Amino acid sequence: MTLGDPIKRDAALMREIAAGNRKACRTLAAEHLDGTYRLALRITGNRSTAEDIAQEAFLRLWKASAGWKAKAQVKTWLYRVTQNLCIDRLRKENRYSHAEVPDLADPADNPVTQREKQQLQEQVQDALQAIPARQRIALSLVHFEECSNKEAAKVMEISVDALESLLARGKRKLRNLLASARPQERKEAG
Amino acid sequence: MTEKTETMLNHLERLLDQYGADESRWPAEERIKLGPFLASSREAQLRLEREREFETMLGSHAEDNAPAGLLGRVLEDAHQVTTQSKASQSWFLPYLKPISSLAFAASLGFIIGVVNPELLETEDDLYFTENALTETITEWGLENDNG
Repeated sequence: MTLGDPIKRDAALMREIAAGNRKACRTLAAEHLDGTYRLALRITGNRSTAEDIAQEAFLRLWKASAGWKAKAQVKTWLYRVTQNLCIDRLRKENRYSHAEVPDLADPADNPVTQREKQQLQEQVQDALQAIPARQRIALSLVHFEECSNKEAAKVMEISVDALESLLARGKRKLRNLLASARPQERKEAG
Repeated sequence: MTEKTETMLNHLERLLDQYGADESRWPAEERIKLGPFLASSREAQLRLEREREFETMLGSHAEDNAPAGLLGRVLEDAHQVTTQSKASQSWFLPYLKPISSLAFAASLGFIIGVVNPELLETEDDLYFTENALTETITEWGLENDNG
């Protein structure tokens, strides 16, 4: 096994999984389950749905183990499957749209408390849900799951240029939606 | 603000949108190009700082890990899938039952044949065979008797 090459290392683990090695299953699940779940959560905005999707993505991974070829990293493969499962779910719920929604309400009057922090998290989640799904996916992959731009483009099966355009538009929109919640902006406003 | 500064700020803005505030993620040539500008321009530093702050705010949302029970369910799925897969990899398994039945029947027949070769042979059969043979020979004889 060439430990330096993540593709070969993942392929070796997948061979172990196909042979019924439970330790290899645990290794891959420990490495990628949180990220897969978080990605699904950010795209769908629903914990229960995110759980179902993460479980389904891993089920597909296990099924793919027997015929796995050393062509891609497990992380890239998993994120792509997760993204597609999320898009399917959003389409079923008529939530997959490129349309943008109005800005969020101004929380500037709220005191700086734990409750405000929680509120901020909710606002981030709401703002993420408000931007178009593909921009949300691009942002989730790059800014939350720390994929490189190249990696994220591979997951989304688009060019790096297209990804960067999605990132730029998504970030601009997200920044506008969250502007009112930023401490710096509040200081300046005050 | 000079036109050059504005161009550089726009460039920085685009870079922040595409790669974020973590300079280690920027392409090497961009780091080299913007390094002196970032060191000297207060406006550029402010934009970078705002971007970091924005990412920190987004990061406050990044603490969610998978719920405790999910790992167990995922591993249970793995166990089931790999067990099924191993069973289906035994290609001869579906043929095993008919092949063993045939082998058993053949062995039984062979043993019976060796132990008692006349077990299935009755006198009636012999009689019938003799009659049939006799008749056939008679017919053959008659057919050839054209003289």
